[in-house]
Amino acid sequence: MYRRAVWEATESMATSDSQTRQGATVPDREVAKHVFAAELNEATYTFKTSQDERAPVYLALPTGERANRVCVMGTVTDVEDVGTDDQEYLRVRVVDPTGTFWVYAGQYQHEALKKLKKIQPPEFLTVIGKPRTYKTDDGTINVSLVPEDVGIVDVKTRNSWVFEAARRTLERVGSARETSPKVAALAREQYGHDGSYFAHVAAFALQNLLDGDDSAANLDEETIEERLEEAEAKGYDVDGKKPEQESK
Amino acid sequence: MSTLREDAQSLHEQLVPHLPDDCADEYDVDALETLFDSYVNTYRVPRTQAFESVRGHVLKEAGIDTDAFWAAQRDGERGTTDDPLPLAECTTDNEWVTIRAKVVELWEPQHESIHQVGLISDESGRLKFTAWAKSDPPDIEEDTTYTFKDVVVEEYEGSYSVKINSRSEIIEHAHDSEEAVTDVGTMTTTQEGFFVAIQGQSGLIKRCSASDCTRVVTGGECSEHGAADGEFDLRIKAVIDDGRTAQECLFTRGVTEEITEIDLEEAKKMAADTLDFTVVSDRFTDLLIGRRFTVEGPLLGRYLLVDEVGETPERAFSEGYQEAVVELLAEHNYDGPGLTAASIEDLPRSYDVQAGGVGGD
Ligand SMILES: [Zn+2]
Repeated sequence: MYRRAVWEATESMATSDSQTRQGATVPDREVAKHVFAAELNEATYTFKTSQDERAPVYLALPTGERANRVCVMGTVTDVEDVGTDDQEYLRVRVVDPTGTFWVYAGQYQHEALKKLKKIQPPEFLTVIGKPRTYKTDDGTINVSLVPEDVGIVDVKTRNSWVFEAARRTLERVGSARETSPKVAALAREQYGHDGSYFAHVAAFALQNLLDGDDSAANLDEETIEERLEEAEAKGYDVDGKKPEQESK
Repeated sequence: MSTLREDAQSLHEQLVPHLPDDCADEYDVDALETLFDSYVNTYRVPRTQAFESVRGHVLKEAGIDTDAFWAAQRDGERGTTDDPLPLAECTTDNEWVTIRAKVVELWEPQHESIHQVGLISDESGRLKFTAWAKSDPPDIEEDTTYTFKDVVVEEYEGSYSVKINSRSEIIEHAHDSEEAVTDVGTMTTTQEGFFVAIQGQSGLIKRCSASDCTRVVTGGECSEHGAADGEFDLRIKAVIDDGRTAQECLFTRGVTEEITEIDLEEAKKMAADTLDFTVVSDRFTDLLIGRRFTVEGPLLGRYLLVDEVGETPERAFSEGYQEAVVELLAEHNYDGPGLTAASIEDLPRSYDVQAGGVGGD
């Protein structure tokens, strides 16, 4: 049994990875950061650590760590095609306990696009994706996400995410100054505060989690809608328009 | 990683038998520690290069017979060409060892100072290796077994690697020789984290049915046997990420059925109903993405070959969230207004982390 498994594994590496092999094969995949919408929307400053054109772009999170990739979750409240007649471009509005964020998917996000099209709001959605910043007409910088992998998930997965995002946010607030001093200093300079505010945001999300604890497993759609309206009213209601000038 | 003091002590042990009498005091542990300190803290020599740099410095300054010194170091090293040290035992920083391993994967060097870099593996495990350009090492090739004589173990943040240096000797073994490594990486690794990607060729796949061939049939063809109908199978190739590192994992049919609770028959039915294979991998993505699991199994190349998997119990919250939330808040000493605010806009814009609990400004 074991040998067979090994054989299969070896085979799989020999064949299916040949496509990825041309590129750099060093498995230095950027990790995904768990971030609440409230923090993501404030993370408008991006930087690179090398001049190389292909070098990864990082968001400076206000809590003092960098993020090239994020893992976020929330409730989809709206899916709209904002593309042209012959080119689909979906804008998806997602609400977590702390605010709203926007996901954009076009032809290059084929898999995600296919799945997002099927969504009948409201549904819980996990998004692993790359943050992008763009300037709106009035000069403010907005953050949106380009999805890599998306999953339509259940309330249990959503709740576990809220807990984890809170845990990681509290950790960043507590230790980023020591563990990533450069980004922490940069964030403080760019945003004019030390990000400690997000400890309150994390606690707020946890409180929200506890409030829904007993009934969470069998929330009916009506209750969900009510909650959403509340959350939207509280959240950042940015005018999510199609990014005109996406940063790289 | 070891402290400067520990480095000074182990260097001292190496040097003592070779130091001329008249300068033994000059290079006691304290003196060596001072030297390490100046290299690392004043002259900014990278920590990983410090040991060799200081050793080189002392060898020269004290006029030590270097041939005798290196001969003695090698006598003290573990593993011989006849009886190499298992990779799993390469766990002493700065130790000289002789190992035998197969090159599993070569990576593209990210810097011109590196000649080759990649993964080597034997029955006991795998290690990263680096061959620096300055030591002018011979080229080694993927899938070939070599005996690496006189290489140095390095530790960096708890993970080990070996460095091929100018004194290393590399002996190639034929594929059919007795020395050739056949079974690699049976040592198991455990990784906990969130599924952050379900990769291509996951879900319902077809494998070539030629005997001894398990290649995946794509577009009705096996890359080796041409047109092939193939047999159905299930698998998942995924990335699991704990926020610090990302690990690629491979689930073969058994563990795939276990984690998704969808067996091959059901998967075939799903695909038949929609006339679309991808419905299976889409379903797997919905089931797994963003969820936290612990996986265990041997490492093969870049992949962790999963033979055990479980949703991480303390995160499954079968008993609700109350206890976990209370514990988390206590851990961070938080008792601020986030817990009582009616709206996120009521929260104060800062929080005194050090004071904890007080909150507000
Ligand atoms: Zn075949």
